[in-house]
Amino acid sequence: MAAIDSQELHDFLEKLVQDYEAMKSPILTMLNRIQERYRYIPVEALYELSQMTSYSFGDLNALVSSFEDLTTEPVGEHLILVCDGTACHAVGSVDVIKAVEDELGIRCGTTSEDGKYTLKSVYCVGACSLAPIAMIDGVSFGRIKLTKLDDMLASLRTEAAS
Amino acid sequence: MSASDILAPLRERGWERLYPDERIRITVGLGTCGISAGAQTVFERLSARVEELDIDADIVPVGCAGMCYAEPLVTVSIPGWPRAVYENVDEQTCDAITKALARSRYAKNNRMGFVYRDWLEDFGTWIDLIEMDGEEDEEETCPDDIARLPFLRSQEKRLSASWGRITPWSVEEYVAEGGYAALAKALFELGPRDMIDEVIASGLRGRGGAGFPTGDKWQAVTLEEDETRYVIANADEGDPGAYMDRGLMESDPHRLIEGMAIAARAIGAHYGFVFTRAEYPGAIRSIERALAEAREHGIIGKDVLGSGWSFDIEVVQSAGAYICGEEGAMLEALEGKRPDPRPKPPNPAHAGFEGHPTGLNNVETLAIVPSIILHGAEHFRSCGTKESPGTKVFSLAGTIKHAGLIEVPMGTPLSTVVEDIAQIAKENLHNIVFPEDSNFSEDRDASDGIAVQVGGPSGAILPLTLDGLTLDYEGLVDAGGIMGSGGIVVLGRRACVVDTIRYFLEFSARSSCGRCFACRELLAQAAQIVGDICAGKGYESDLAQLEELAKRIPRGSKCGLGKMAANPLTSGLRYFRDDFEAHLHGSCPHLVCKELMHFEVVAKACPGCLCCLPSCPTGAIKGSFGKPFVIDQEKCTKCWMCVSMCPYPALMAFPEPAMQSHGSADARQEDTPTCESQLPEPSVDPCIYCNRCIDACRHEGADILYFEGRGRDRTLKKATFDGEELCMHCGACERVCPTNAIEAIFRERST
Repeated sequence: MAAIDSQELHDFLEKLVQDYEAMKSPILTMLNRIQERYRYIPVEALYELSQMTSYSFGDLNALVSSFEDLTTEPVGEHLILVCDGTACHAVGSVDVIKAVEDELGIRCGTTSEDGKYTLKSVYCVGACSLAPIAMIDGVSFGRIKLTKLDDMLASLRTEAAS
Repeated sequence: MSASDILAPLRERGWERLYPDERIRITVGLGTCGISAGAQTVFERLSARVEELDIDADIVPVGCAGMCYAEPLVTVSIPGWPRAVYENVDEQTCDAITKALARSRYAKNNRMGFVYRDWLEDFGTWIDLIEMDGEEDEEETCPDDIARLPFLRSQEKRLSASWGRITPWSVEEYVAEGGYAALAKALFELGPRDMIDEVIASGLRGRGGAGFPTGDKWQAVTLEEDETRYVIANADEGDPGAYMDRGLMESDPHRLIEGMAIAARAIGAHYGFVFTRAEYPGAIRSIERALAEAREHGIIGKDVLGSGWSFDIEVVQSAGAYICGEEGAMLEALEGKRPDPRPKPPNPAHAGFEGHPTGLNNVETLAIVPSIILHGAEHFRSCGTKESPGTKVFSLAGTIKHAGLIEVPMGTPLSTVVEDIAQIAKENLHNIVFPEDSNFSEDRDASDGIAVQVGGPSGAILPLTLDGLTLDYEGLVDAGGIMGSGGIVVLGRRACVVDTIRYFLEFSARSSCGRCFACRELLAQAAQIVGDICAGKGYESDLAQLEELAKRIPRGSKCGLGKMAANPLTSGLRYFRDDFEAHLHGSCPHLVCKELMHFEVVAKACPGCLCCLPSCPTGAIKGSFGKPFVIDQEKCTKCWMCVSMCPYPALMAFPEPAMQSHGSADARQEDTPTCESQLPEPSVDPCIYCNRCIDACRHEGADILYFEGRGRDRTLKKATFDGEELCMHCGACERVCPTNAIEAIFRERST
């Protein structure tokens, strides 16, 4: 993982705190912004944030560890979420996850060694009518067929290569 | 500026947009469901074609009309004519639609029907869209009214009337639909007391779970002396299989804003939060944009509708924690603490956000409020049952033809919803042999649903044949579940009830905060036992043990999650005992549990066509071209790939034949050496998760202790930074610990 420029991080956090000063409950929004910016939440960021705001370092650690989307390890460049909600589960999302695992050569919930892909299962993206469903980098794909999975991931590959 | 100065011009402009005199209006459903089905492409294609053909038309993004099964959904209205609805629109249909429009006609391709009348909320009436003053087209003389579709026939669209019809964030279109009239009434005509009385009289109950009367909640807030009050919309719709709050926020966010403003006015709050899931980016965008428009027009902000009263809303995006749907946990998260449910009392109404009285309601509940204020309690009570008045939005999913969002009166029989509205879908069962099939040549196109799951992980799994079950709070509790947020998932013949129960138990065990013993340990045990049964390692005695656990889990849990987590299990044992028995005898009747089924090539049906061969990831299929193949059972990982490739009824899935089950009483304990998985040992951690150490650490100024992990993984941790120990070794945590657990946890340090 590339080392974080601590000056840059400091400036980013300062701006963040300023931007959300007026909010009555800014903390989750700030953590989400940090995760979006760095693709993970560096411990340095939590420490600095605890110095800049009234939130304690312990509470911030507790918060980050309680939410599945917030990570202290970087996630891959491409985030593949396979929905395992009730409706998707009932139509075989487990087999979809298995197939994606085989295709990418990583286990669900992990990131590939080159840092390109992260595969996760999520509980329901709220589009049950199109089950089974997956979200690749925020774009959702509905009615996935095992036989067409290759094409879906192939386009991702070429995109990643280019 | 008075309210009518603000609303009247908005209404006029909105009306022009909704029912233009000159221009054609084309809407494209751009909810999450629409986009997943490719609506973005449709939108772009239509825009390009309209420009190319120089058609005088507006192409408008709208939300979800509830007919998710028909997405991408496009509607077209030519001035003076009814609105045509098109389903499953692709690029060809776009071309056909625009081509016909260039000649001022409606295309026939993929046309679902026409809408002749729209429901207008503010007048409580229908308006006729059809004027028919032009020359009558041959094809239009036979009306195919969309309201006659089985999907819509039994519905009563009150709350969801504008979904998929108006641009979600457009304040003009919302006002034209009668929006913000209730807020004006609340501000200028009614006092807070009148509003609360009206809501109490309406009998409105919380749409998010247990169904607590909304008016009583509000009343409790007003009885507090503290003048700083908050209103919170619970949009953390975490139940897998439920998506009505997403639909509401994506399609009609102003209704939620109006409802929150009225609630705030009634309870005396000036600030509100919408706490929503991270998995709903579309809903977050929609509501934030709606808020910006509302602020711009003085509907939200320092001077609401010129009344001098101030109210503002903040959207807080969660980051993936199911437990945040519990109100105490949500409040903790809002305050920047670990989301653990709070002990009650005090309820949020007495001490909520930062200790101030807080009105915390579900999104749908708040969105219903404007209609109650505007039309009165009587109108609201005009449908539904005495105990559960009004309508309820349900989400339909599973093996059905019509997945989507529906709104029906409370008390509607489940059979009406499943058989008339949802309609069980045909499944592709050609390569599957069910245990009850004597031979596999029979036509198995027809499929019967087997079960229906209502209310997510806290709801019940019920047989479809359950007589007289009605969808209202009491009916569902009698059947062994709860309303939950109202997600209905129909399970077909290819879904295994036992596997579904395992899924819910694991979900709840993973989501548990880990504080109460029953929810942390017993739930994990129950999940493990059901998991073992699915893996063919079950014992006769397991069912009795599961029954015992199902009784103990709610008894020993503090919050709603633990209290309800055993509902899928309890109802499963009550209605689907046969399925459990079959699993115990080594056979999964629905061919889901991989250990209890296998694949075989039926030699007489296999021409040896090679279709399956390349699909097998493990090389388990053996044979040569023109001859029947065989499967190496040792290598087969049961991934179903080959079955989906086989064009013949040759590669078939079979259940394992039923055999004698493993031993009976207490066999699990005696048998452990041979039994691969053991039940999880109850935690011997002396920590009782009382939080005293964390408070002490905070008091001493170090503030570095925190709990990490959920369920059984919950552990006390010390925050470290750069490998540096931030602990001051003051010993405060050790002194306050009532069970002497600190030493055990941090033993390495104390030596």
